[in-house]
Amino acid sequence: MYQYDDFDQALVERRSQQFRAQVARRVAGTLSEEEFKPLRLMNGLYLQLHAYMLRVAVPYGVLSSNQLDQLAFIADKYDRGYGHFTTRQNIQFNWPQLVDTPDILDALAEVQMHAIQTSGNCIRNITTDPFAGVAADEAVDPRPLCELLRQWSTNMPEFSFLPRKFKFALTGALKDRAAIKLHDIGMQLKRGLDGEVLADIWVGGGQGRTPRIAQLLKENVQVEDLLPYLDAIMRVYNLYGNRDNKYKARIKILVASLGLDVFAEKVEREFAGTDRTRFAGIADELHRIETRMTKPDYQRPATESQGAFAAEIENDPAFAQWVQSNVFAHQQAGYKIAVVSLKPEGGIPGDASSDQMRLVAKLARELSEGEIRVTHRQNLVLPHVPVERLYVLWTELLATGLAESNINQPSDIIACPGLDYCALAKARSIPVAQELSSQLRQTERRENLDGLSINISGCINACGHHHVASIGVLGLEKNGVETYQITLGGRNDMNASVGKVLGPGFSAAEVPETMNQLVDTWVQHRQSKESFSDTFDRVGKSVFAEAVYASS
Amino acid sequence: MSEFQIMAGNELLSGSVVYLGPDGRWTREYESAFALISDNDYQKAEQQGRQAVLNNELIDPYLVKVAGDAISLPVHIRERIRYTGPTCKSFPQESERQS
Repeated sequence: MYQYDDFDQALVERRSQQFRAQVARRVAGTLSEEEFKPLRLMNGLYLQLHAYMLRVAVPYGVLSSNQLDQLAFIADKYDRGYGHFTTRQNIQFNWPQLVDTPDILDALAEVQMHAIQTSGNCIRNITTDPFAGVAADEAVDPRPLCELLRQWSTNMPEFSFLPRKFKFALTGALKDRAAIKLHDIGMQLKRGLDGEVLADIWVGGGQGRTPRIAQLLKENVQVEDLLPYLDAIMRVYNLYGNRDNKYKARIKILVASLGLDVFAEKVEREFAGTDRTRFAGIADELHRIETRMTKPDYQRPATESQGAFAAEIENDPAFAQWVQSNVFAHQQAGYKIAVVSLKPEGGIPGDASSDQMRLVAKLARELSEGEIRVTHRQNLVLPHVPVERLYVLWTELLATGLAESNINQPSDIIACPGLDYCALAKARSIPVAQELSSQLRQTERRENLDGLSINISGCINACGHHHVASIGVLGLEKNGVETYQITLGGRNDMNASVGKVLGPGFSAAEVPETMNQLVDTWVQHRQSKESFSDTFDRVGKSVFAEAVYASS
Repeated sequence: MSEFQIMAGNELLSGSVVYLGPDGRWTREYESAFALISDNDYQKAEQQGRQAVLNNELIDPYLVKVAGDAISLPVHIRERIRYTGPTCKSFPQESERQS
């Protein structure tokens, strides 16, 4: 994990002091709400349906045990004893009070955390593969570059007033676990023939009301050119992006309206004219970041550990089930990556109580080099677990409702907070997710439903990523009544695709049975190990529509 | 069925939803919200809302339609949820922080 130096620490402390003064001025009335709103948004503070909401940055999803303990402390002292992990690898608190937010930011700064740029028309949290640095299929660890981009984009004056929010995602693995093609800029890192790090840059992806899959802008960008090139993209966006209509202001709209070739030409011209002295020393800076990233202290695996592990699998079917769904291959012999599901049966996706946070922090300290990751699917990861300690881990998770064996299963639902919390939402998403989760867990025990994803958004802003799920659920409102539109066939990996609308919407009460019919239709028509979206593409929408609408 | 409006907003310091009461004060108790039935009532309430914003008590006050027989509830689902709170509880032991 990256360790702050004096400069980094001073930056977050100064930011906290600055915000404290801004809050004091707001409370005293010397700042109006109109003046204060952009300032509080740049510090992650929203006003939602019932209360303020604070979005805390978890840079590229990496947390230490100390940081997770501090988040638990904040949840208890300043909130209602829980937090919500988001689809951008951040954490949100739903009930802070304005007057407490300066103290919350101070508490975050104590553990090298902040809420800077988690909202506003600026570059948001850089996200990446939750298995970064440990995945067996990884070519390049993206975390040093993520940290470089984080530092480059923080408080960057030129990019603090963009036409709209801006989101980066990086991956360094063959399998894209960061959904890079659904971001404003997505990057795939790879190795060149001489082992050098290269980046393919994708641009213009995004969800929301006009979902777009990113297009390949440039291949094989060398590390020394990366920041100047990204800077050029941002400058073109800043100059040409729409500022008249916030619904048409993302870079995906600009790329679509100019066409990729014209956009690329503008970027190349900007890049060619870049004053490279602005980026002198970037290689040294990247090296500095790498030296400040702690490395796990991997031990030589015990020769008897594999035998003991195999016996535990054989003797405990529930443990075996958890290993099959929640445990993943590691780069280091004798270690595994363990995913802690925050999707208990009937529970709220992504929520964790302060007790659960403290438990995961303790387990990470004891069993995972003190490190945790947040996934964009709203789960947590312990990235460095010795094989012989997996059973101990699972036993402790089981005691606190954190051992659900459902990663990459349909009940591993992504859901935004929806109309229960969000001021932008049109319909509730959480109750739908809770009902579906209970139902689907039963089905998962009977059928192999590996890889079927269900994502739920409470409005067209698509924070629940419904567009790119196997089965997406979009909550809408018609004459004050909630209605749910189903989309099918989405994908969020390197074959990213936007789901197609099935047909007329459903009431909340109808969604569970509709889901049953869709799953049954897939099981009936799939060939071999075909994914839901592959079956959908092969047999067509009409097969699913008939199954659902004919019966009603 | 009776139909009327109430004035709602968010308290600046806490963010809590508050309603304009008959005494001109802002209360978190929905049941104490003042029923506004005429154009004159609406205008006066909007003026009180604007004043509360200027006094740094309130953010974003607006009128909410309410209807019902024995119990009057906000007409729109969004406002009903603002009144009831989230329809899902995160954890059985979810604690309410004392303000």
